Amino acid sequence: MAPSRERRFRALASEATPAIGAYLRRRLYPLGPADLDDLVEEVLLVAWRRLDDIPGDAQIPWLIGVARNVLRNAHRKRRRAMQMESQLRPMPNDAAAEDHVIADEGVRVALASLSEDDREILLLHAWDGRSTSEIAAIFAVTPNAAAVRLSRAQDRFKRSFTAAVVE
Amino acid sequence: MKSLEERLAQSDPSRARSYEPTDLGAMVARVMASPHPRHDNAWRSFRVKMAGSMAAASLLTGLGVTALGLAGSTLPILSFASSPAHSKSDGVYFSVVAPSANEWRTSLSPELAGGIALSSAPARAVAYAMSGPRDGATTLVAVARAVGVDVGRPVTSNGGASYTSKGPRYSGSLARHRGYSTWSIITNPSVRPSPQSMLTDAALLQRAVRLARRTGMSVDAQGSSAGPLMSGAAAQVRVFVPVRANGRGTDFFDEFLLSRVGMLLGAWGQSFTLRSLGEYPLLSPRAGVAQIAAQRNLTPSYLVPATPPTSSIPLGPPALRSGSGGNASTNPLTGPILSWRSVSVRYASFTMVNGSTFLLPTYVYVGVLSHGAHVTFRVVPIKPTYLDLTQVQRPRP
Repeated sequence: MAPSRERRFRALASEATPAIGAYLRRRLYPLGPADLDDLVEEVLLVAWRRLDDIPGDAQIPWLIGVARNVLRNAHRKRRRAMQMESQLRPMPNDAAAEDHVIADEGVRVALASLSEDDREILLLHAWDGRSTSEIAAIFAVTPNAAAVRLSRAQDRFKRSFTAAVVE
Repeated sequence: MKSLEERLAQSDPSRARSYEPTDLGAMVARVMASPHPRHDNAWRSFRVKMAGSMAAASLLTGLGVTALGLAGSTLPILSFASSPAHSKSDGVYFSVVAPSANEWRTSLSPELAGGIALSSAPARAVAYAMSGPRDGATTLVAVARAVGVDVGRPVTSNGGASYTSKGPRYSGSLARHRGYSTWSIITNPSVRPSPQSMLTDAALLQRAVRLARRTGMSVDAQGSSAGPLMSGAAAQVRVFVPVRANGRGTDFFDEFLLSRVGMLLGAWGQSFTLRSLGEYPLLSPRAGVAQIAAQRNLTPSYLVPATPPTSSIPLGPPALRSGSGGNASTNPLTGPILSWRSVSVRYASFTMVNGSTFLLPTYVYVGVLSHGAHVTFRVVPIKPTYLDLTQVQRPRP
């Protein structure tokens, strides 16, 4: 194994782990805090295997794209396990993770009304601080398309928020 | 009073809480001790097989437009920008859609073989310069009228970069981007649909297509789709209407949110005009396949999972509907066979070195891996002699 490859990976892990961990923790429910390290490690495993494919100037967006896949699989497995544990009353699986961690009710209601993609794009920008170019990398679209989608998601969020407050 | 943006940011559950793994050193050591799938035979043979196309492909791994001129041709050279609209990582724009992380890993080294016969015939396609409307206020009012509503008089607070307006029943906004503007029209919160007879999805879809056409866009009625968002009295239907250019699909689409009685609740779209740059020679679809494989060695392959279907009618713009939900269990050390199912020409917008935005043809390849995953690749197939990629090329590792 080339030492330079190991060095590069160690540097990447050190730099990217806080952002990846924060991304996953925001969307962790119904998984528990104990699962967080395992998920981060799974992301790093993909990064290690595909180190040559990771763009030097878009490392974190690339890894967030991996984290989205890892988290989606983990959620799916967890929900299946919960359903097996509770055969008589299957657990609901349609609530987004954000619904369980947001204290501001107006924000929570407005976010809940958005589609999964709208919610993800909006929060990648508002919570994770990702630019439209980075969101483009995560969603595999052009930066122009990402800007359009973010703008529409923001519009819809505002509309839902205003409607929720009026009601 | 806090703004909505502030409330959203402050609702972040990880705000002011940095993440530190329990033992990063041990985690990294475990990861590096894992087997590396690229050492397997399938990956080696894949790289050898594609090595011949590397030189040509490297010319295609970037995006931008500067008029450098080319002897004997009036077609401008496309000089793809690296920033700010595009990062170097954009490379030749392509993506892979796979249903799960497992599929995602196995798609590292597909054998590009089988399926439909791809044409070897060179092709041509027109490329366009895009420009947004000069007068945002007038455009917003015109769009609102086109869809039959009044959004009041637009005002700008940032020198014309964006406009907002509020009418008696609807509010509007318009934002300028490079090469186009996006607009939105939404009902004011106090407005409620009046009880009338309910319309079918088909009728609502036709209504949305009519509204999109009135805004001046060429649209794809056949490719439009409608999806219910809620049921009961508050039922709404979201309709996506793809925008076309030169008879081809584009990445742009209009969206209309309609109540079950046909009332317009929201509309989102874009406004731009196209100017032909000329007809560019393209690589053949067969030659484009070789580019896909070679680019993977030079640029990132952004992989996204398919969105599991949330209703019987797929939601999301048609361009995003690929792949399928699933959780196939696969061995990451095997190289799957990829069979091509279709290849089509589709337009996408790219920002160039000089800041202008061009609408360029892309080839969209759809294939199926041997274990069932759907994969989509996308390349800009314009012949390398017409591309200047110096701003976006990534140094080889």
